[in-house]
Amino acid sequence: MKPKHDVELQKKICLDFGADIGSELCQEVGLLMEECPECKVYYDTMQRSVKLYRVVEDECELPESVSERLFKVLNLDQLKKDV
Amino acid sequence: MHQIKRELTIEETPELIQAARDGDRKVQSQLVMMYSSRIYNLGLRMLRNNEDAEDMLQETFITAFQKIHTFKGKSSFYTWVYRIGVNIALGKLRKQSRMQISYSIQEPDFENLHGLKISDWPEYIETKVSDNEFRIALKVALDDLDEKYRSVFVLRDLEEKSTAKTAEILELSESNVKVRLMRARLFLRDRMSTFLKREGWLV
Repeated sequence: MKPKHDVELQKKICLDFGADIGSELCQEVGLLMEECPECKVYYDTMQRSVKLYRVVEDECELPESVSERLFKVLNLDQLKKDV
Repeated sequence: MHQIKRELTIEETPELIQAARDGDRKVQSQLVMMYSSRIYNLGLRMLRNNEDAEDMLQETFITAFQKIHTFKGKSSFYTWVYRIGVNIALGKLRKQSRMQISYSIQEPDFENLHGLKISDWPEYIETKVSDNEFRIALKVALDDLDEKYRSVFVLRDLEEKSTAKTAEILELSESNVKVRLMRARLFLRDRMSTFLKREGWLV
């Protein structure tokens, strides 16, 4: 059985909405999410899209050619091999 | 997932930074080797293409070494260089935005969602992340996001900076950062839902 007030969910949503935990806005948004399944789905899919971006936009290796041009433009290319 | 293989890690001591400030070229090379990959990735995330990211990377280190005498050591050298990088990227984005189509950003209004049919995403969506078309759709949506929202999204959700740090770097109020972040996330979520529907992945 679902608890009447999902405190952890409310806290998470509050942080996402930038409201202070315990503020009137925060409580209203939390209650809205519990009473409105559509809002909860919308919120959850928003969270999932952020997670997808963290995977797709993961850091890539600096290409060697980019690194070489950087050292050259900084006149450090003679020192690169010693680093 | 890619790994950063070439990143050099040495301790960033005051003596090391002083040596760089005094013009020690070997130390400067070490600093470039340590931080260039992270600055390049920041450029890629903010500017969305390899050429602009490379230009930003070069301009960042040129500016950093030209102005190194102004570095007071109040933050780490990396934080200082990172801020230079963000400012250079923002300058480029502002120039580009004059020529780009701007997509409207809807106000997040959960009240209006009551009674609407909002399709949940199937559980397998996360496994589709290796699908090329899916990755392109994600990237295009982020490309289309207005720079003022994208820069906040990149710093907060991808670079994982705090709200306070993001506000400081972008010279915004913290509440402004929160509002822009929420709008960015909702824009990206809506674009992905549209794509998933078009592909027949949502009922």
